[in-house]
Amino acid sequence: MRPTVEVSIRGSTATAGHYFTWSPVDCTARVTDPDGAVDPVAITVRNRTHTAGAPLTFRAAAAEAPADQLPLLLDVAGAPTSFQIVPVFQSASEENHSAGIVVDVAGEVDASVEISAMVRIRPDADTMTTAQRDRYLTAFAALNDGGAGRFQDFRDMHLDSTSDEAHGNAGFLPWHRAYLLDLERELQAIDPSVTLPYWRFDRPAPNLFSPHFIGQSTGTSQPELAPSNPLATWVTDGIPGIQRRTTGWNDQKESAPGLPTFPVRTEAETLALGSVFQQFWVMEGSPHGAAHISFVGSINSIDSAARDPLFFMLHCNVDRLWAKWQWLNRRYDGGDSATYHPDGAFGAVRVGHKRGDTMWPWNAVTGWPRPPTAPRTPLAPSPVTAAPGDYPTVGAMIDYQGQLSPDNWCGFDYDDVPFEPEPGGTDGP
Amino acid sequence: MDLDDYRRQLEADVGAAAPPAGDLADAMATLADRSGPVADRVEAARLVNMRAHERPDTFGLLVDILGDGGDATDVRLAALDGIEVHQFGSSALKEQRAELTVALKRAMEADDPDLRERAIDMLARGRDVDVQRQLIDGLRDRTAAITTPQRSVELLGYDLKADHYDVLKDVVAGHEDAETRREALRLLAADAESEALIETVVRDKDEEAAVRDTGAAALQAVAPEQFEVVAYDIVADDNDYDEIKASVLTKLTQQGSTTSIPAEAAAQLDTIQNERADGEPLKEAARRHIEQQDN
Repeated sequence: MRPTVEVSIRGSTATAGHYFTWSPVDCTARVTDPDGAVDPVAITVRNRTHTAGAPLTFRAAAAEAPADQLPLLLDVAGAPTSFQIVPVFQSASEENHSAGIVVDVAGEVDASVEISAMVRIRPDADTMTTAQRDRYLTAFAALNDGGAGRFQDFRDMHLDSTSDEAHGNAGFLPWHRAYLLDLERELQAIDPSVTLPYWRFDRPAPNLFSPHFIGQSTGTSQPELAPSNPLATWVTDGIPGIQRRTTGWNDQKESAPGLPTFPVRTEAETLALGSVFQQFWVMEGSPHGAAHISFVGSINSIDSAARDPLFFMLHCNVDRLWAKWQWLNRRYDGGDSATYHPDGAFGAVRVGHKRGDTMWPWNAVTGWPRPPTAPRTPLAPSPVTAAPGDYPTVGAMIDYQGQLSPDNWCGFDYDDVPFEPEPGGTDGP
Repeated sequence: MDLDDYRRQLEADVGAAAPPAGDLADAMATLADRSGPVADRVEAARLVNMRAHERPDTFGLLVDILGDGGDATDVRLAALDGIEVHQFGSSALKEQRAELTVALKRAMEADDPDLRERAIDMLARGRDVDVQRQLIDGLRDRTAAITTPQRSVELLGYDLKADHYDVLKDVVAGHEDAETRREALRLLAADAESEALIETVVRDKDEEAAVRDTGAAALQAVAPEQFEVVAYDIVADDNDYDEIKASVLTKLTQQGSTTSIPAEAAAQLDTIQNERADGEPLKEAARRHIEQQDN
């Protein structure tokens, strides 16, 4: 006599393909075949062995403290019982399927409910494992496909002629958040274990600026790449290679300096700009612009920056800083003027930068004042969440963790930015 | 990790990183005062640059100083710092584009090489046709050069046009500096009409290995199918060098070849596999290529 149990994670009973961030994950368990058992059926939900993976914790309700295992009593007639999986902050998975859940039924592991998952978190590029790095580079090179791949769409979205959609106004941060998410989802369609890494430009990053990763500056126009590096076949605009060298600083020992009278702000200096969005948004100048200008090459102008793969890691760090600022100041409600510019504030807010505006190019709107063409529409879908939608608005990028509504969860997180429930929020997706 | 502790630590770090103190209006006045000490004005520029977003008129001041040939070089460089960074975003600076172009062209006439080079770079990035013309003239006539040949080629790469390809072909065909030729080869990959010239470089055993390698990357970008033909010819050639053979094999493997390995190249790959020592780059490249083909 051994009942059969089914676990559903975010509505899916699949035993693989689950990707978590730091947000708690809503789940249910139910008896599908009582096999003569009497009510209630006692089960225990717990971690699969995770020596190389991310530990998970469990709780019956949001108000409870999570634990390594969770005893539950299930209705023998099959009514579902809710519980939550709570990933452990700063314990991300390094490999796909390296996190997992098992269910003990009647004192034995129920093999049919062994579920593999990944706590998929954007990492600091300089701390990635060799395997993580190589998967990322392989996926990125595949998306580029020697210049013939879909990466060209991303390059064509970030030009002087499209600059007003993404720069110089309040939507700078939301637009680039959507841009990165779109790219990340394309990479995950190639390899679902990949996330975008970020370049902490206020710290030395010798592992990133290596011939085996993003290339080491040599003093010539191009960084040194190992022949086996997938980026060795990088092509944009029909031109092979990556054009980048430092402005003289040592990328093996130093952080990006910016310029003598316009240095790159550190993380603390950036977060110290102020607790109101209008104060924080000036980070578009420094650290953002100052980090760009720390190089000679494609990355030092809006028109050509997207030709360099480093550009996406630079912007991932800009987005991480915004995410960290949001957590520090609890800024997730886009309707709050401290979280985002209220419409009509800050001079003339251009179309595409107001909270309720859809963003180009995903909205496919072309013609003045938008650019004449839209290289990508809609935004790439995700198998784990419907947010931020095919045609995201500026406001849809703000509550990316789903603090205010589970429907807002965009499915990404950073290794040093926790999920912490908003007072009065939903406690995650 | 205790999130309360984590938050407290971050709050302490942020609290210790207060924004620079100082009055923006005072700093602008100090920066604008041509009679003031240079060090004071540069220090004022630091504050003005970091807070320029607060007052759109700061950009007019920065542009004025940059374009003032009589002002101190260090102050002009500081003004250029602010302009370069705020190019990433400032709509107020965009509105001064015409004045900025004039100021940058004045900076090109400065004695200071750093100021000159940065002004040239910024104009080239902005697709300034006068600067493009000067770069081309400098490549054709060394006495007219406004920067080094390699840098000239790089800067033309910000905005490739049909007439740029002509000078780039001349550089590949006749320039003495290998790095400059490599830069030109890379850019010619965007020009279908340069395929034959690039192929000639790749096949030329008298060329430097690095130049052939760059040419191979360019040929693969401009004509992937022809690159495969050339690459397998190189592999099959008993008299060609290991370095270029390993390079083209790696490129074929990474990009994926569309044809099966020709018989002569296949025979050479077998020979390499059988006769070369483990760990030799050519043997490793051959092994990886055969594995990829088998898959």
